[in-house]
Amino acid sequence: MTQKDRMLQLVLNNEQLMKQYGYSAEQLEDLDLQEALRSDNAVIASVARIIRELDGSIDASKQKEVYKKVFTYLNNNLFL
Amino acid sequence: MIIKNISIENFRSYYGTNSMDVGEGLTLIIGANGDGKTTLFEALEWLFDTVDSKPKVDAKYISKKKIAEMMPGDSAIVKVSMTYECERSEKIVEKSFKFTKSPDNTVSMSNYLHCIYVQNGSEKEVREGDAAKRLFDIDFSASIRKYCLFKGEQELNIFNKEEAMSYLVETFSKIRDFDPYIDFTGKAQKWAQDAHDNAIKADKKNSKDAERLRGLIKNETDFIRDKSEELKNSQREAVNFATLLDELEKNKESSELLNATNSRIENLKERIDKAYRNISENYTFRLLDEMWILMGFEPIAREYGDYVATLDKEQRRMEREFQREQGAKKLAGKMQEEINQGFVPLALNIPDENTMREMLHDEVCKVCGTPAPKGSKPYNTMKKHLEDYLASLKDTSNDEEEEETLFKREFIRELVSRYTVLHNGMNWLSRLPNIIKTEIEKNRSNHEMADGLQAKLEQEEEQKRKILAQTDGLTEEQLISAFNNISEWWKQKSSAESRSDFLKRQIDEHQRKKEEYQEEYSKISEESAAATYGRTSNAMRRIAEAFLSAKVRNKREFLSQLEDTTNKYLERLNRGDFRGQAHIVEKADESAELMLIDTDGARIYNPNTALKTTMYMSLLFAVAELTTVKHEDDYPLIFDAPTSSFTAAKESDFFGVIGEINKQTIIVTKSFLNENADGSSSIDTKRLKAIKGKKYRIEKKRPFDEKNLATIETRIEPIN
Repeated sequence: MTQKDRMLQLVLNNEQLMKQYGYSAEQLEDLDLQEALRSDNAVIASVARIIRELDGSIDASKQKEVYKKVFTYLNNNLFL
Repeated sequence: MIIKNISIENFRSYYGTNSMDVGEGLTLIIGANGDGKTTLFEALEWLFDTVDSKPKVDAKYISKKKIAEMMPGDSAIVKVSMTYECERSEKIVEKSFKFTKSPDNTVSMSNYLHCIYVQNGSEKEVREGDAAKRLFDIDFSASIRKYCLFKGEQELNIFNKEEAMSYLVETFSKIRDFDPYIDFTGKAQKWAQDAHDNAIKADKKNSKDAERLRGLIKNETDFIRDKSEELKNSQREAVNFATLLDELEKNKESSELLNATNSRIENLKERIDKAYRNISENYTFRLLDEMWILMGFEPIAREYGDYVATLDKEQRRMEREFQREQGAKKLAGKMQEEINQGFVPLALNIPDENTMREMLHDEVCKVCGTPAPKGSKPYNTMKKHLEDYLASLKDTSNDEEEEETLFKREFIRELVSRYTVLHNGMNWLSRLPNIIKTEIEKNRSNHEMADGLQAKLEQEEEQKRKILAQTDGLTEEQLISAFNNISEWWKQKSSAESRSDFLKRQIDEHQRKKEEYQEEYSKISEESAAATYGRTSNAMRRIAEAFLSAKVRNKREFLSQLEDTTNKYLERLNRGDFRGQAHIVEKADESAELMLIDTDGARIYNPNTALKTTMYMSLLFAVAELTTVKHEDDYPLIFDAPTSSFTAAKESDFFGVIGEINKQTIIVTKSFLNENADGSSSIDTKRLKAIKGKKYRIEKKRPFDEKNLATIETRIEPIN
């Protein structure tokens, strides 16, 4: 498990998030970044996108770029 | 980062070039006192720049032996270098300077060089100065270097400093990795919120409701922000008081001992003062003021008394004799007068006065039996005789007043009167030797008592010094003031904690309200075009919160893992010995503290030095293990004499465990040495054989002149 996979697990393992966006802790077992990117759950996929796309950067333009991608993705895929 | 080799050239006692390969596990460097263990450690400190005050070049770094053998004009270099491997690339970091001997035998220094050689394929690149420093900081960060060199057991106490623990946790738990994501999701949340707000503003139908809810959300946000700030302060205050109380608890025993010792010291001082006040040794004055000078005078006074008594007696006898003579003379004169008148009268006192009165009353002379009626001649003769007698009595007293005395001066009487005074004091005079003896005895005994009390006072003051020496640098005033302030601090701590609880409840309540308003706000546009942005904004907010709480959880998980691993090492390093349990406490101000607790969870204050050392080392090994397991920044641990408080058995166990740990550890120690009769020492090969790892001996080359530093040469030799 990479540090990014671990971060993904830690972020998604959040009760509020699970409750609001309909996924369970069981679904997170062995979930890695690649799988999360392909997830049908828009929030799981969005968190994975943030981790992968931002890649620890603090660069403002990179942040804007990632925001646009995730914002568009959520607008198009989040129906809950 | 793994160290491969360390090389030292002309650095202090390390004359010429000394080099040693370092193992990936334990490397043990054994040397007796004065053989150059600390010099080796200092060479690494110089290379690593871990001591800010260390100068770049310093004449004291130069081998005296090297200088002595050089001719004027000759030059040589001082160099410390280390070959290390980092990210599969081998590099050599090196510090050096040139020194030249002048004709007047002084030494000048030049050409300071700090460089790193990087093997790049078949090429060797060189980075110098700041570039070398930057590269070395990347490979072996300056802050980690501070946590890899430990001189003695005391330096391990760096973990008492909160920032050290926080630094290690933050560095090795990787919680800082979360920071860019937290920064980003915070901004993304705001941008999504702005997009949603703008979409709602376009929806005229719901604009009023939207504005009201935005106002409510803003109010709640402001309230939560203000109260969160207040909560932080309150928690910080509670932590501060808890730390003070903790410090006090740690020193509670010392405080109590100090108080009791101070009270005994006060008491002793008072008693010493009293004993000294009772001493009255002004003997010179007392000789005259209290007449001590008369001691031994009693026999003389008695002899004097005898003389005076004899004189007095003689004087009285002589006076009586004289008076008798004078009286007889007077009587004889009178009788002669009467004889001259024709008869021999009776003595004036014969018959006596009463008889004469009786005869006059009876009118008869009872001497011759002749009747003597009143008015008759015999009657008148008897009457005159009585009158003469009575007159003679009067005359006698007059005569005496006028009487001539035998002794014109009253010298003897004065001697007698002086003796009388002296005699009255004779009782005191006879007791004087005893009085003086008692006084001297009393003074001697008070001296003895004062000396005894003084010795006790010194013991108590020594005890006090010992107590203060064990109180982590707290002064006596701090210790006593801490002790006196305890109730106030408890009150302040409890008040800060209650306030924190109250604020937390308030924040939670307003957080719930805020969420309700946000929920309502996101639904306000459900039937409008802004609905999509509302859902996205909501999701962004939840994701941002999830990143934040993930960071906190990550830290907690790391601390828990760190604590478990620390305890694993603590158990191994204290096999068969009491060890308690290492416990890492996360404080409200986000710092963390390592402590030992008992099975019932009670903190063990002031554990013995060996246990404390193993606790800190266990944490170091735990941190190292966790980083190694994660294939992250591995780094060596270098200790100089870390086991001085250990028993031989504990030391063997300790090195045994270190040898088995998958961690590069370099330990410089004087263990495993047996002292020989000639003052040299030899390796205890039997004990050493059981220890895994590379082993070296550092030793002064013999013979050497023990008074001449220029004959000292330290050699590093491998032990096979």
